Amino acid sequence: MMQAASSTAALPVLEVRDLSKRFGGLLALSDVNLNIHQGEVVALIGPNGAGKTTLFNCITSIYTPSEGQVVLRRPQGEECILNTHKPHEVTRLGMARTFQNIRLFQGMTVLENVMIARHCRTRAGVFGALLRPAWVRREERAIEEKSYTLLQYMGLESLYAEEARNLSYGQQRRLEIARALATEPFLLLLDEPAAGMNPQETLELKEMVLDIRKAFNLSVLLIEHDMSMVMSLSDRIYVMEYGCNIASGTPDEVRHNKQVIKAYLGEDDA
Amino acid sequence: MRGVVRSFLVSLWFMALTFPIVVIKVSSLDGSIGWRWENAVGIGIGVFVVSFIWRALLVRRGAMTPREADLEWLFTWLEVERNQRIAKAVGLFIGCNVPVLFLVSVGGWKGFLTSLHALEVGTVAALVLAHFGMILGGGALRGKQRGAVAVQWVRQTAASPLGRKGAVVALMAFVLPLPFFMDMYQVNIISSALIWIMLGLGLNIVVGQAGLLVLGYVAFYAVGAYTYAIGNLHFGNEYIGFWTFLPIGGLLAMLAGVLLSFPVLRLRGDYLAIVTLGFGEIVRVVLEGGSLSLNPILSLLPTSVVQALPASFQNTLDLGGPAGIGGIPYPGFFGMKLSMDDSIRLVYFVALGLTIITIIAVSRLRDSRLGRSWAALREDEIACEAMGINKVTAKLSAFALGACWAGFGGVLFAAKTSFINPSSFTFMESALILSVVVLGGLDSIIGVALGACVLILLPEYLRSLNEYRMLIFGASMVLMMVFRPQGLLPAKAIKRTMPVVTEPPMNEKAGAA
Ligand SMILES: Nc1ncnc2c1ncn2[C@@H]1O[C@H](COP(=O)(O)OP(=O)(O)OP(=O)(O)O)[C@@H](O)[C@H]1O
Ligand SMILES: [Mg+2]
Repeated sequence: MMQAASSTAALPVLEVRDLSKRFGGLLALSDVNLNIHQGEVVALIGPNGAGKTTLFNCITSIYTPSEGQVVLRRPQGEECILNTHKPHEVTRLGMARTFQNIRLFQGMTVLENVMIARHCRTRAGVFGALLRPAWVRREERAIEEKSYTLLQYMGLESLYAEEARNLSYGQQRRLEIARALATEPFLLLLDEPAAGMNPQETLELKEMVLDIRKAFNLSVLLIEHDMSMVMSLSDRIYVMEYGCNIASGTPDEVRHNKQVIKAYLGEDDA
Repeated sequence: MRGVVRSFLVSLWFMALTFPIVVIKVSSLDGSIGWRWENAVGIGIGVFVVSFIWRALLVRRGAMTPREADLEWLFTWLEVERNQRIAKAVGLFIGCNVPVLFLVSVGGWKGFLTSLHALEVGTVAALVLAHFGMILGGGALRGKQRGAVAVQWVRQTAASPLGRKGAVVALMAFVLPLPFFMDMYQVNIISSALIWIMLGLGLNIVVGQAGLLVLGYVAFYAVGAYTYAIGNLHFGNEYIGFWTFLPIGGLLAMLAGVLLSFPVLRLRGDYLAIVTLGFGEIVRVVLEGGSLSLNPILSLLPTSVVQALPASFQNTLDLGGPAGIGGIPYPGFFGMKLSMDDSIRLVYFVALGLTIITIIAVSRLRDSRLGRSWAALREDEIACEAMGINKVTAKLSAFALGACWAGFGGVLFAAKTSFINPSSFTFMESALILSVVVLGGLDSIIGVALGACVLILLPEYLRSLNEYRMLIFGASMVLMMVFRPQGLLPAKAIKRTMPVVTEPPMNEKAGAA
């Protein structure tokens, strides 16, 4: 909220324009619009099956949108239309995400999970790997150190040599965030980061998101079902239902929006 | 009195353990077998005396009950738990004797007899192996339980860098002089095993590291072999030979890998397997067809280049057909004229050198940015892309590098056999290489090496069971899949020691807001 005043003047870092996505006959997204400004924490809420994850997948180019545009503005100033990009290019441009159904590299260690994410910020190739010149060794060391630091930041450093699959649910979610941060994003997308966490963990997660935003200077877009978390965390909220935007605004505005109440509580309560 | 009986039993046990080594003596001159019973008696008496004193000492010191003292001695330094004793005794016996019999059966008695050296080396090797057999036999039966000093020792050695260096040095000291003591038949077998280790490690890049199931791997092997065979036919002379075609074969196989990977980039799992299987078969069928028209390629080249090519090369490329191509020379050695035996030894050393290079290369790849991107691809393709890894590059590089090693292996194979034909490059071979990787342990370098040794050497030595070979092979694969799907020696995560990093994680970007 505090950023809202200063950032309305600047162009948003992410702009979703009239985005639609069709799966055969199913219109999963129809004319969705969404903006995120530098430094904002924006939440995306809506009932199950509303199309929130689908929107994430379109933004990160895992799906190709049927219509509409996704525009990313990098801090360096360039503007990219993401529709034609590959997912890995999107990550390289500075957008990182986590997954609703955790997608860690389960068989690898916690540290390696984060190290993999350094891929797009490092450059050793086949010959680097085979010949291991000094700069590659330095790079490898730097990858390890940076990854370990991120683990420390997420409170996972003692588990660094553990296989990812052995982590608890909450730890896995945090590891996913650490991994996303390792790609050095300026925009972080979190898909239901608190799902499966207990109230205490959720509270810590909330603090963590705010802290990350400040420490890494990024903007956050998150999908979340936990209303108390969403309301206390976000600067702005977008509400979706059946693939459409039905409302947006500050938490207070959204809380009192008739359509939102209807969507969440059913017709009778309206 | 009780002690005497026990010591007597112990000495009998030891005589049984050492029987193949100390009693059987094979004369290298006429191949007759001598039984040196007096040695067994000597061992028996020696063990009896030592055992008796040992027991007495232990019991006197009150460290053990008499019964425990027996067993302590029986199993040397392996600590034993009651319910495991019998199992362990059997394990020890097998561990002690199998390697000996195994070595003795190399190529039958005859092959073993051809030189006195072979027997001596064999005995030393048998002793070493028996030692390890005991350690492993004890360790395997013991499972994870406390004790087993020997197993711990092996673990510690394997864990410490110095120990590992020592093990490598010891291994090298064993394998380097090997071809000078063994007969050429066996040297050849070991060379093939080395080639198979290379093939296994190459395929492991694609299947084990990148998780792409490729069933036509032998096609790349064929590309390498035919590169040398055909290249030698047309261009071979005293300057252009093995050492020229080795890199060319690798490169051409790599090219084939890249060509294959384009159509299959979008495929996964079963589909990828089927397409690559088809590719392997196409290559074999082309080879059997016997010739390949070069006109499409030559028409792309300027006429002056075409005319400069040897006449035999100008229209069709003769692939030899089912009859194959022969007369492929051994590797050269600085233009020296080598005897047949020395050439075979040279092949062995080249195979050894290439295998070592392969092992180093593969382990470096595994612990690199590229290797991690393969692992990510294997674990989760979508997450892999979300981490900024280009899926296409990762797949392409895995295919190219994997194929490259098959190419090297192929060139070496052609040089070793001096004659190749399509029947060496059938689907059976692809399946066998895959089995090497799966049996040994996907993504595990030592595992793959072990898998190659088991799958290539065992059938050689089990020739007497010829009709049952495939049966045993199939049955053991099924058993493996049921009881140890992760392979003999499954891959372990790379060990990393993390420093205590105290600097705050919010890097350069912090405070920019
Ligand atoms: N790959 C796909 N193919 C076909 N239909 C899909 C696909 N992905 C999502 N859908 C459909 O799109 C709709 C929106 O799904 P989505 O996963 O985006 O919902 P969501 O808002 O994330 O729900 P939840 O809160 O349960 O995660 C659903 O009806 C779903 O069945
Ligand atoms: Mg969802």
